[in-house]
Amino acid sequence: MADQATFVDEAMPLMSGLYSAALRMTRNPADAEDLVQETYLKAYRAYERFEAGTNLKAWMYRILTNSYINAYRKKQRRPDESDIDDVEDLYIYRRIGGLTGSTLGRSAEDELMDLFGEAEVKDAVEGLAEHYRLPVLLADVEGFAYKEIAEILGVPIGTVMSRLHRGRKQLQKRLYDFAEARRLLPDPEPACVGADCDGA
Amino acid sequence: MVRDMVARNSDAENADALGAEPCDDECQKALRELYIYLDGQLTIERRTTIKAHIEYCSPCMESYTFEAELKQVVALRCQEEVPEALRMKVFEAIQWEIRSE
Repeated sequence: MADQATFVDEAMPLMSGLYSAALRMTRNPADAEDLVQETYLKAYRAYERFEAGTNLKAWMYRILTNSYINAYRKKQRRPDESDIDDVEDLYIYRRIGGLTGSTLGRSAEDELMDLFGEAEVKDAVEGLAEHYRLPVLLADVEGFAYKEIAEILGVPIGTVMSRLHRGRKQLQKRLYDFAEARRLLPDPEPACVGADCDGA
Repeated sequence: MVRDMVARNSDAENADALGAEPCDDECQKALRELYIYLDGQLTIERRTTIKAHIEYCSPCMESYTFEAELKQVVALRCQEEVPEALRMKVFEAIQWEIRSE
């Protein structure tokens, strides 16, 4: 059992992650703020039932996710939130893999940062259908393990893994399409990927 | 930095000893498990096998590095600064709860 007196010290440092996730879920700052506040109040009230020493971060994200699903999900269906057709693995790499690292003195990560700006990445994540968006957020942005994601979302680990797999592919397709629309990409020159290459 | 994350202690001699094999089944397996590897969710045994493979298979190493970097870019781009007003609001709401108990 957790002591409520420790709640502020333990839970407040988690706020920036929770707020980032809330924004990607609700897609607007006012709703995200309400969602975070609601999450903290619910967590505080239930904190006596939280088992001290277990995973507070995952517990808070579970409250956040449930609050979001109960309160916000119904009123939000964006036309561009869609389950696009399945695409191949390594979607971006197969198209621009050779590009990165080609400019002297700059890391591939810097090049990817240039290609995929803040607005594009946020849009791409927010455009994912919800059953993909939540696992992708929890894994790639918040760094949760599959087991934790399964607990937060209340689905089996196998479901988490398959949604992550498809969600990431769709995210890549969206990112690539954004970059292409902004004409940031050179003509695609297929990168050599695993068994596709001839003995390189 | 990410490359280091993908394959710590990459050792050229070790790679020579293993011999550079052409792309094959091993690559297929490595690519199938790429994200599970990057997520740190493989068993130690699988992790060791994959690591040994990507250390001598440069196409696989390239894919792994690229995906690791992309994953990092997505995470960095989604970080948000909490508005100070929200921090205060939450703090005050909890203080209010504490006082009213």
